[in-house]
Amino acid sequence: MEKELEKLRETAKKEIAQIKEKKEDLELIRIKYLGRKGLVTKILRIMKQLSPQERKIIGKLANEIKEEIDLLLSLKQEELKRLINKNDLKDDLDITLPGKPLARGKLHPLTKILEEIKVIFEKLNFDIVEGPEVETEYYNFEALNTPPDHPARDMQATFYISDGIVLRTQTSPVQIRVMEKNRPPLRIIAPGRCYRSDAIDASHSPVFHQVEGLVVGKEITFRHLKSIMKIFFRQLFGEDIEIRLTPSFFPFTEPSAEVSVCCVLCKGKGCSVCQQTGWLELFGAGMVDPNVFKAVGYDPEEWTGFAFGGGIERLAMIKYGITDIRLFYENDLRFLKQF
Amino acid sequence: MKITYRWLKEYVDFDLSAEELADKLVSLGINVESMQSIGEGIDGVIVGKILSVEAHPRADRLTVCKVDTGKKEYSIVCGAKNMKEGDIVPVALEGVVLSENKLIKPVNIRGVDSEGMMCSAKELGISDDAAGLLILPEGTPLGKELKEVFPLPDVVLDLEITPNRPDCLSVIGIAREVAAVLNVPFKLPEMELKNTGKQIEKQGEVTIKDSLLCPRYLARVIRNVKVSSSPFWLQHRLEMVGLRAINNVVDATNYVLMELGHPLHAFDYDLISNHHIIVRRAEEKEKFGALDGVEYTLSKDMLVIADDKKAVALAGIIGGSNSQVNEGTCNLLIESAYFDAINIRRTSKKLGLSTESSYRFERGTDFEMAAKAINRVTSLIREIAGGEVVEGIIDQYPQKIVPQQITLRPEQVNRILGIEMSGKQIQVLLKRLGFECNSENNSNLKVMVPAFRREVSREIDLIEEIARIYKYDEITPAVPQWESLEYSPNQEFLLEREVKNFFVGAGFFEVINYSFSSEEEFKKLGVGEEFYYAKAVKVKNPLSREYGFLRTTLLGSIFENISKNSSYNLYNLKLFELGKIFLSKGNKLLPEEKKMFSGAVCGMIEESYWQKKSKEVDFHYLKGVLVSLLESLEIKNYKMEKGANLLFHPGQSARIIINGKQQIGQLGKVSPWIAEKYNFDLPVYGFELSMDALLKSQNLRRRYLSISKYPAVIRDVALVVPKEISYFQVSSQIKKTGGEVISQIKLFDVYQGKQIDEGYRSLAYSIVYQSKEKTLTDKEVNFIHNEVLQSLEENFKVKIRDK
Repeated sequence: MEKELEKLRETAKKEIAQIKEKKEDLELIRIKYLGRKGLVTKILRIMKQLSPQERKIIGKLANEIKEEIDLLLSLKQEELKRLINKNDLKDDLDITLPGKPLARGKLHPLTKILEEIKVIFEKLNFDIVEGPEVETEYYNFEALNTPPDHPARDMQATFYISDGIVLRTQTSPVQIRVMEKNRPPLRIIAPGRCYRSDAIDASHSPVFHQVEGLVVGKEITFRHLKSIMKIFFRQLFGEDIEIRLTPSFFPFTEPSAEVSVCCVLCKGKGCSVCQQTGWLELFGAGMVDPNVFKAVGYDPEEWTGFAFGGGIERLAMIKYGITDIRLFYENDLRFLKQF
Repeated sequence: MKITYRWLKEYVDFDLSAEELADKLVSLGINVESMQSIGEGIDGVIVGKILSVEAHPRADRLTVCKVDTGKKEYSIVCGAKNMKEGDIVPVALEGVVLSENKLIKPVNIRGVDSEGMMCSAKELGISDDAAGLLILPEGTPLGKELKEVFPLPDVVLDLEITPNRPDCLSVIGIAREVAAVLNVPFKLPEMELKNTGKQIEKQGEVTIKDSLLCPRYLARVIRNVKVSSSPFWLQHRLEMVGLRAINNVVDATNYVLMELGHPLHAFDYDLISNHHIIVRRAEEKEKFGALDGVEYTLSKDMLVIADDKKAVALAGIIGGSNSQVNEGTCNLLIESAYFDAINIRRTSKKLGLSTESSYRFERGTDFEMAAKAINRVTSLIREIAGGEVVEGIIDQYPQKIVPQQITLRPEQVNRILGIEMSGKQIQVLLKRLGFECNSENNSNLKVMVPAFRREVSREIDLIEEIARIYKYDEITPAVPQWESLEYSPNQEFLLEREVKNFFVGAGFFEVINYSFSSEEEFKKLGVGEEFYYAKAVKVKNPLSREYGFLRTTLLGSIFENISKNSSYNLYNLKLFELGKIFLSKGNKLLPEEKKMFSGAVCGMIEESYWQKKSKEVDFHYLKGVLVSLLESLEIKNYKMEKGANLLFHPGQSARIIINGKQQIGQLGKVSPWIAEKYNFDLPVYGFELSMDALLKSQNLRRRYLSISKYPAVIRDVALVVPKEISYFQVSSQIKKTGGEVISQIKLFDVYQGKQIDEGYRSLAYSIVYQSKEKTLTDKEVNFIHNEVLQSLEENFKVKIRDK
């Protein structure tokens, strides 16, 4: 009897597998095996006649076969449905037609890079502050250790509004305003617009953006400055970028440094962007000059600090491969769309 | 400032290529802006003499020259015009490679053999001068290689010297730095002049009338010089560093200026009245004719060098034409002085006159070098212009300058730099830079500042010097282990991010414009409009008229952006800018800086798409965007009042009012008369919002409102409304009457035309009735709905359509 059942299973499997299209065939097979008079049903019916031991074995097997046929039938049925669906071309589409464009705008590339800068410094626990764009000469120069007759004033061509009032040439006056209002420790960045009366060309714009940084605390050293510069530029340009500090001069920091990164375009080999030097000068930096601390009433014997800053346009130009600073202010949609 | 590689090597011995030298200089804080090789094509070029110049038989423009190189005569065809028989010229024979890789080989030019080439300065890579042959000085030995006769090839380095390093404005200054960093000795040129005596006192006199502005003045007299042109090597060296050769005397003073960094001046001794130099302040409105051919009007805060009749030089800046060295000059008075830096700077600024001399004096010179430089230049003049030096020197030095001493605490060095350095190590480093140290009784150091480093006056200045010579690269970065600081979130920046991102999501592009405006722009936007003009802040020294003012609205530049983009055939534009406007509070005060959020749109709402044609932007599109913004900022109590300022069409514009009275912005269609001035092809709609007002009225602290569990009943109704009644009035009335049970009112159609009486329009509403407490029965809804309709009829004579 067992053998008979196994044979039944094999033939049923074969028959189901052979069905190609017709749904009706499925029903016929169901009736043939599982119908009231079906081959498997029959066997189940005569179970009573068997010995209890046989009944157990045969009953189990017969039920197994019944379930298997059931399952195979329902799988076959799904398969047939899929087949029909596949061959039905009524709802066929030209999927190569364009999709509906999503009308999304774009942030200006300067905003994008500034956001990146803000996020990096926010993670480093810096606060973000702003200051006025029209400044007194005191905040823009004198408090920053740049008295009126200092040759350093020649470094920054200045727009004047009236005697003593200028368009700020740098974001550094924000340092003074923040220190006047707060006690250390301090950690800030101050982004914003700056103005210099340089003739407009591919690398000079009378309006440009800078970001300024200031850290004041106990035991802040030049080594910390180096570290923060390294972290910042690596986050902005990639983990493997090399940075270098070389001596420079700014009236409000001492020692002062120029912060350069290994040219991201030529990887330090020398190209037109880095003027064959392999390095891109990006930021000015240094330890806060004691005279600046004195101007805001901090005791330089108690506090030390560092400051840094640079042009945002230049960072964006390098990051995005933009070769002319004027593009930022022409607001040509064909440019703005690319960021 | 330019120096040359070979010139530098005369004073310091180093084994670095020009590129390596440049790297070292950068590491010291001296940026190298450019490097230029000079005389690259000089290899193998020899000195020859032209024996004859004859016309080429078959070419008008060419000549055939016989050239003697000492050993042999050559025949060379030449295209230049500036040579004559007897001239000494550079000759390139077969196999020589000139500048730009030009290989010389024998050729036949129109039937005449040419065995080589005579060269111009450009062909040798010496300068850009290609006008003719380089004519060498008479007596240059024939047959010698040019590079044996002249110090070439060489490399010119253009250096950027920061204002704090006047000591580096000379070849010697750079040599001193290179020697310090390499820890090798450097040498000064011979500056002793074995020439003492009192002879000079009989031949000249110096009186300093203002010793504050002129603490020191030295003079020497040289007799019987022969003024002519300088030797070729000197002329060439001056040209390489960017100075023009004039005559041997002036060139000598310029050479020493570049070499030692100390400005010098040579007067024609016989043109100084009574040979008496008087250093005094100028008379008010005193006229002074300078060497540059300009007559300057001086004031009494300026310092002049005069004789007892007239000013002969503007101290430290420029000499006078009335005493200048000329071809007929026979006797010289040489000046070497030390002037007050600030006074020179002020005079130079005031007159708009900057010279190599003023550039150095205003940054600070070396009062000891003044005495050495005068001896150096005197020797040089004697060497190249002949003459006899009158015994002795005048040295008026009424204000003795005391060298500075600074106390340096080694622990302060470490506190700033974060390194561990002992007092001994510090002493060694400082010594290399010329600073002598003595230990004080404690661990502190007493540091003597050399005369050439006058700007080093504080402990921190010394710390920078130590860091520089220790090298920044050697100071390793250390991640700060700082305690974290707490900041309250900056609401302003959060709002800015929110607003910008909202508009980007709505399809707007952010623009950034200059903060400048101009009279032309104010005129375009309407001069009559008080706001745009009257409060504008004027720039005193603008780049051009275009940038004469600070802007009082962002819309002017945004309108320019629209018309510019339209000219590139981009017509569907949605632009916004977030930036400051500036409103004057009078000349003495800082202006008010107001952050504005402004924008403009034109063209289609969406880019065209094959399934559905987009609609053009209009007032209600823009209103929809702004209202969505206000709602996303949870600003609820706003309303729109018809009409805005003159920028906008009075019938298609609105002021945005909050709290019933405060205007926070406006929007609308740009007035046709303004649109015309900007050449808009399509209607443009613009808006302005005050960021301050948004910041004050926003509510970013959101509260959850429970969602009703009970079913909603929707009643659609078409109302026939008299035209003078606004949508706002109708909707308010519905809400007022229905009360809390109305959870939503939605307008789904506006219609006027057929079936609607003249003077009326149809407003079709969906009103949603829903209670938070219970399921509303039909009866209850009907009751309220009828009440609503009745109240509309009573108040506004609203009828129900089709009923």
